[in-house]
Amino acid sequence: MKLPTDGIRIFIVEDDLLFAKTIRYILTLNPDHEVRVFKTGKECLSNLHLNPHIVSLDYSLPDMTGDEVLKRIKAHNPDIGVIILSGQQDVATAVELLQKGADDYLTKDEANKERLFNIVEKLKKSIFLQKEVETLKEELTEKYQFSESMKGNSPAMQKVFKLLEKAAKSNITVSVTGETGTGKELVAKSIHYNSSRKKGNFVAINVSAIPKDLLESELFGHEKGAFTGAATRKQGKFELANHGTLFLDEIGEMELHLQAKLLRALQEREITRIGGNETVKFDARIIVATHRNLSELVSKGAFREDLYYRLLGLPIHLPPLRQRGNDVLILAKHFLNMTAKENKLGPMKLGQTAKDKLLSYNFPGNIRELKAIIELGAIMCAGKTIQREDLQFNSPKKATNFFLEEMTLREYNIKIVRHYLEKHDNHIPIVAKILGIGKTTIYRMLKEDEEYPQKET
Amino acid sequence: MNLTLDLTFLKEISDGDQDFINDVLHTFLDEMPKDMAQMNQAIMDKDIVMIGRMAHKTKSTLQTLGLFELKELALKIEQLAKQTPSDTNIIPLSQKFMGHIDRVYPNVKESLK
Repeated sequence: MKLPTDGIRIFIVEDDLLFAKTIRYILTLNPDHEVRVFKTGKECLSNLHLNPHIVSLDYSLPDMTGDEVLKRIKAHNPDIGVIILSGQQDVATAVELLQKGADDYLTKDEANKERLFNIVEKLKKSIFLQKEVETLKEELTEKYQFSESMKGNSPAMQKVFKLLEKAAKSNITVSVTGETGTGKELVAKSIHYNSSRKKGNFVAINVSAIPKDLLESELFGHEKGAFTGAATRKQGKFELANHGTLFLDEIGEMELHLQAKLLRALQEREITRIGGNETVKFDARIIVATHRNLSELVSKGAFREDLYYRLLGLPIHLPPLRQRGNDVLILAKHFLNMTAKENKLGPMKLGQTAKDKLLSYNFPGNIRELKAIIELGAIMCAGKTIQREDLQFNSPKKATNFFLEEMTLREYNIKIVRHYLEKHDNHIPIVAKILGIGKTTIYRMLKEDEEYPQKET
Repeated sequence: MNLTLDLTFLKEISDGDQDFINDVLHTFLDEMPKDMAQMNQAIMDKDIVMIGRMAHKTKSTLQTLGLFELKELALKIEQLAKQTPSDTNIIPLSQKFMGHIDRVYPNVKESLK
């Protein structure tokens, strides 16, 4: 919890000066507390511009009722924590004020050092934790502004941006498709943080990453004792996403029996925890994503048709990076700036040879792969400009996508030779025999390859 | 009616800080006569609501100084004023209360060091 550096401002509103002095003495035992005493409600209200964090309010004041003062404090700033102080016989009134927005109450008989400190500390925690949460949410909202989070000028992405704006303005279910690494979760988060639900939680669950036996409990929650190991009641993701967004990633991997339960939840907008009878209403926007073709899964009987149509909503397809033209360079520059900043490398740029190499590559791992390549390139780079040789393409899909990478014939040849050398522990005679070429040809090719980048730069 | 001060609470919260205790006692000597003057005026005006208000106001002071029996009497006056605002029996009870307060002042002065 971060406390304000200029201390905690506490107002005591109390017409009994002797009692007010006592309370002030207790509270100022903590040097972080700056305490002011006001004898009337009006005095307190006319000093709210001093932005108190906490107000200790006597419910019975000579000029105004506690109810009135509380209402006006909260109208001024709902974040001000208000403690109601009352006599033992007036607890019912104090409880009533709690229902009207007061944060806590204390009877004057119990207003000893320990009780008062506990109550103030508890309030400080809730006020400042709440503030921290709000600040973090604001930061996230900024981070996920479409212009900040999603980069690209390609026509394919312009189309996506238009759909994202429509999605953010509505409450419609969104289905995001695209190859692995195209940024499906980023799209989901951007929709959430640009929508009216941004104050609620963004709750993500990757269906394929959760063991099948646990998925139901993760989604719907469970009651205590629902199964072995269910020691306490647990809320599921649907409940946690109430008033926010629930992102179901890799929805195509969900088993059929769970699909039926999901369909029911989406239709009724309510769920039942495992082992429970009570239905719990939820209000969450649903965003689903998959790298698979759901309609194909439907035709194969692996995905329910009724669920498919319920989830389809607004479909957004993210194009693979290889179809986004110069977006590769825009994204590469963005990742390079990020990496340089995070690693305190100073300003860095991409050299022409690096740009050419990036533009000729197929990126089977899409944006995720590009990010990894650039991060490594920035670290490996000896100077401030990344060159061709700083960029290493290590995609496990490289071998199968051999022909998708645009290279010269010479480059293809050396790639084949290096592949076999790696496979046969650099045993040149064996490789020469396999490829049906002379050993000297291999030596010459390797030598040329070593010299090539230097010539180019 | 026990009118002896019990300063345990004040000593506990202040670790026996006599300056603080003296400040509280001086506040009593400054403020209580004003409250009693208001209560007296309310008695003369037969303003039961105001009598109740003043009784309410003194409760936390009396509690703080450990004048528990006097606090209970203040509470009784406050409750009577709320329950039966026209009950003139409150007036003799309030006068009795004010008499007790008068007898507390010397005890407070004695506690000043």
